Amino acid sequence: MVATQETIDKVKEVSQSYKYGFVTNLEAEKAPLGLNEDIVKFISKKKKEPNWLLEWRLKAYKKWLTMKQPKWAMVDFPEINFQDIYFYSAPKTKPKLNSLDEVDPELLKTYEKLGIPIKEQEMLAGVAVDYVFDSVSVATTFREKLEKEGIIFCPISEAVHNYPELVKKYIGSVIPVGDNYYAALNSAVFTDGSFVYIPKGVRCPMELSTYFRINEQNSGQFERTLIIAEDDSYVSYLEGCTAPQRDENQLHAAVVELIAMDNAEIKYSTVQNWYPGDKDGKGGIYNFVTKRGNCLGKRSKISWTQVETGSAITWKYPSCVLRGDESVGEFYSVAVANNAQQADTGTKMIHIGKNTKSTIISKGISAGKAQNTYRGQVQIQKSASGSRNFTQCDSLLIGDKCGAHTVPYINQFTPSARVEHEATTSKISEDQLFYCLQRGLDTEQATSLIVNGFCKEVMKELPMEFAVEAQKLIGISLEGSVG
Amino acid sequence: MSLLEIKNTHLKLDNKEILKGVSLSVNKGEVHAIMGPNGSGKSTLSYMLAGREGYELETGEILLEGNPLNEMSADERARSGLFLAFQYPVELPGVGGMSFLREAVNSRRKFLGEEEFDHLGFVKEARKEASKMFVKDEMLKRAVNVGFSGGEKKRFEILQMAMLKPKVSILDETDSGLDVDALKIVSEGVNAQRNKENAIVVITHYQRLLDYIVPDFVHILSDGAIIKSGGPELALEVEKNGYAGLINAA
Amino acid sequence: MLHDVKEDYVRSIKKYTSSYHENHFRSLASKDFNGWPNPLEEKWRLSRLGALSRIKMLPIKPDLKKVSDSNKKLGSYILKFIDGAFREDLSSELPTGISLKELNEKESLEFFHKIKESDLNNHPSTNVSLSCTPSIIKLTVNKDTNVKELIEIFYEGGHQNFSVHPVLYVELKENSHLSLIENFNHFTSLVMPLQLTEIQEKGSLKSIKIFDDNDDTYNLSAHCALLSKEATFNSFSLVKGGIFTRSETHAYLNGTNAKLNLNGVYISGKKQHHDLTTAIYHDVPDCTSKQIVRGVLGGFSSGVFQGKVRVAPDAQKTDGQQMSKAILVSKNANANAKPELEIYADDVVCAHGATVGELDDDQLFYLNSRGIPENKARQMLIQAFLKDIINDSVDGQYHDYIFNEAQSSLSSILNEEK
Repeated sequence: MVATQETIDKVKEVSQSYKYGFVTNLEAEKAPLGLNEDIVKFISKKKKEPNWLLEWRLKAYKKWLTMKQPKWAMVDFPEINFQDIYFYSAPKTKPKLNSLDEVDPELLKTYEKLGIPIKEQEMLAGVAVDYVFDSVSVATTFREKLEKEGIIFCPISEAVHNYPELVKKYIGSVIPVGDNYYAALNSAVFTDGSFVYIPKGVRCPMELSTYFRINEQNSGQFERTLIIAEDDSYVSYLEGCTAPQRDENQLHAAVVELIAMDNAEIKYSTVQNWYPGDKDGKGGIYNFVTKRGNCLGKRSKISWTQVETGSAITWKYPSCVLRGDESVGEFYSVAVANNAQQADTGTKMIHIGKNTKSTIISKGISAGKAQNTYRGQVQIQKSASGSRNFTQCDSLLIGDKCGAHTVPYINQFTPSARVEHEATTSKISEDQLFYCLQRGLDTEQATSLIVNGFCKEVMKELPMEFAVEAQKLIGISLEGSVG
Repeated sequence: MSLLEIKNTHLKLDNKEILKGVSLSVNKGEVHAIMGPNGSGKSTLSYMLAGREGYELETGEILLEGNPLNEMSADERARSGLFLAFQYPVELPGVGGMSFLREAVNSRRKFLGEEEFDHLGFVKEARKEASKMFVKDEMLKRAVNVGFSGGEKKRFEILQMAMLKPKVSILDETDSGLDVDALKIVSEGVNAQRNKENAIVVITHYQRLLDYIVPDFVHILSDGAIIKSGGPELALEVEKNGYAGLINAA
Repeated sequence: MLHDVKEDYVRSIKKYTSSYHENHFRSLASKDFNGWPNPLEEKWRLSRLGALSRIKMLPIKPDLKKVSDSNKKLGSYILKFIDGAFREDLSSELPTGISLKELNEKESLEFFHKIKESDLNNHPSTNVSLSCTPSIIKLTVNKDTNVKELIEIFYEGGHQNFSVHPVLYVELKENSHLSLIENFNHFTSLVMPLQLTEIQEKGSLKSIKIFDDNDDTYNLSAHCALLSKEATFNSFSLVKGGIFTRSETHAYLNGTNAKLNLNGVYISGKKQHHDLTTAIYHDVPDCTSKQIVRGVLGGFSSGVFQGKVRVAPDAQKTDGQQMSKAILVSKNANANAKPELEIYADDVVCAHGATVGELDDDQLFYLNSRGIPENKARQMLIQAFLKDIINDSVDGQYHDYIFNEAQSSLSSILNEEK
């Protein structure tokens, strides 16, 4: 989201507690509660999907049935009852919209409250937006501009109809259906998400972005995003989400697959502030996401940049598989956990091609009673001679009731590669705080300044539009943690 | 009414009494020097005045322009116009010098009801003051104090003083670790700020700094109390006879 | 068939202990051993015991007539364990201030409970060795005693298709000091050394371990160290022998201002698998721990370093540092590192670093440019790599000895690569 001053002020006006906490009263069309083969068929039918996709979903569903909820992360939560969730819910007033004028005015009001008036988008410096509202894409702007370049940016449900060969070729190629429990679930019941295709030699002229919002009680979000960058292309994609206040935990199990060909570059940025639950950990979103990038081509590059401040539980490892020789994978992350949040996040860099390079910079901030774990894996396979990895993971602890944990795995199978890993744990020193206080900054300002300084290396990787919002977000999410 | 009034202050650290009844009156336009051997309580006095946690008064009062500082937090005191130039300025990794300065200056301005600087306006102002202190643009882009030499750190402290325009500045051993050139620059920076409305308290245990920042009054602090006060010639006496002589005589 | 082999060993352990009363420590321990750790178990994922579980084995009955030809190498006093049994006839009389005894039933049971309270409670060596050891030997250093002389322990013997179970308990009473060196030189299918070290207030222990079992031996060493207030433990392990050696140490800092240095070097070639696994628990404030691990891997070998540091919520002012470096000298070797931090206190300084790779190009070039040929240059740099840590970890008088021990293995690996 491009955050103008006006937007930020508008957002500030809303109450002190979770700023985006409210519900839209739109009648939603729901599938019956629970999950079974019929629900999968229902979803596929609703979207009028071709048979091959239904078969694919059913295969995933059957695979999911054989799998068990994984328990290895350092997070604690009650077992999810999948029969108690709505897997499909769409607003009745349905889209086939070409222009913003056709968007439901109720919806427009919703987005205004969120502080991102759609109308504003048109005036802003070229950010195309694909709005996702409770499992169905509502509006896509700037499509014409992109179409001129041959760039496809549309909801995945549309891509299935209009570009079936592309979808068929790549979906599940980075994250196979049986990869993990939540990926299998997503493959069976995903309802929508973005599809991006950048043709050879094209540099996408604008940042692409999308919103998510979980609204319906008990509905999970199962977004599926697929981004394909052909030879010599470039795209920067921003993902930012907000969610309303809810009492029940809501599951978010998205899957993001990125494919980069020779010399292509994909930059994927996320600012995530899902409802984190109240001070005691009640409510809040479960964010169990599988994200992976395939650096297929030579000298391809995939960068993941994320600022995670929300969710009750975050469980995600955006990863890169570096197949092409000289390909590059990057992971920059700031993960904030406050009050009773729990985060077990990190990345995997799998080096397969020669002379591949990966950089991991992870900054974890824990406050309140939160637990923040960095889990990373760097694997240098035998074929990956001459490869390099540098990992820096730092943890900042605010207060003495939280925890910060680091669990890195380094597996190296070739002598000519070099892996370097550094991790530090610290707190905001009294000296630093006092120095800032003596210069007239109050405790909140001082903390925000020092914490942002701690995260600087990551923040500077974010597209400018996100960087400002991200900094504010970090400050807001740490409110009340110091002093 | 004096600008800064320290009345019979007692302070304990780890159950040991460090300040044993320190009193001092500093009026507008004055420069006071506090000298004393190691362990006399000089740094404790400066932390106490600045309001550092853990350095609360047992008994006594401190007033800035008649307002009691005892109840104010460190940042409130700073915004009210109290400045402490640290002996060992701490590093703030990732916190850019320019943004740090702007936040501090704007906090003070907001408190005073003055208009806050916007980004560009501030940069102009900062560069102006920085050049006087021989602080290059490049240094302002770096993180606060990270990798700064001793001299660079002290110059940056005095630059902050110049930009915040405090009522009372306390310079805690500003001369420690400085070579002659750095000392000159820092002293010139301090002297340039002396005026009829503010006051400066220079804490040092070497007389040398006082050749450059000439004080109006000199006080000797020993074992938590001021044992002798006088004019600038008292500093020369210390130089000649050492502290021991004065302490024994007191 | 394979299933049978595994089950056989488990059965043989139970049979061995069946003659003891069910509340005897041996019977209790054997109840907890039901087979080798599953490769999916996190702690054993990188060091799998599949091959071991296929070897037909029985716990050895110590041959009390067996002798060994090891000689005093460094120590002034020697203690020998052959086939896991302590041999008074082959050992020295100890100096005053330090005594040795066999634990009786009650004491053995207490020992059993102490180890069971630690995270080694499910380690196979804990359960099997406590079941099958001939006896638990305790070395006690009296209060305020400084044992100036080095005590050297040899663990030897064994036999193909048998497992060996030496169990040692070392207690340093308040303000005492001891220097130990332990040599593991078995010719056996499996040895499972189990050790408990207790250092009371202000006590200090310096320990060197050299793992140099023969080429077919599996060594699964488990060591639990408990440090009290102001205790110091400087430990250095050199792992060079065996087909599979895993040295696992769990150290508990239970008293404030305790200091721990847990360093190690592994030199691996051919098809060896060397694993240094440690866990350091900062349970109280103001303790310091430092770990430096270095490895050189050639041939088809694999090296593992798993280092966990856990800082409890009240363990403020903890200083925990860890650094592991591995150099691969062959295309077929591999290294795995998993340095883990679990921190629940905020006023701490904890850092860890791990690097795996090859020699620095700049350094190599520098030597080349001074006329030194490639092979020699590599050798010099690797030697320096090891010398550094050896010098930092052991007392001056032992530098050369330890370095030579390392050097002999190093040469064979580097020669293989030519």
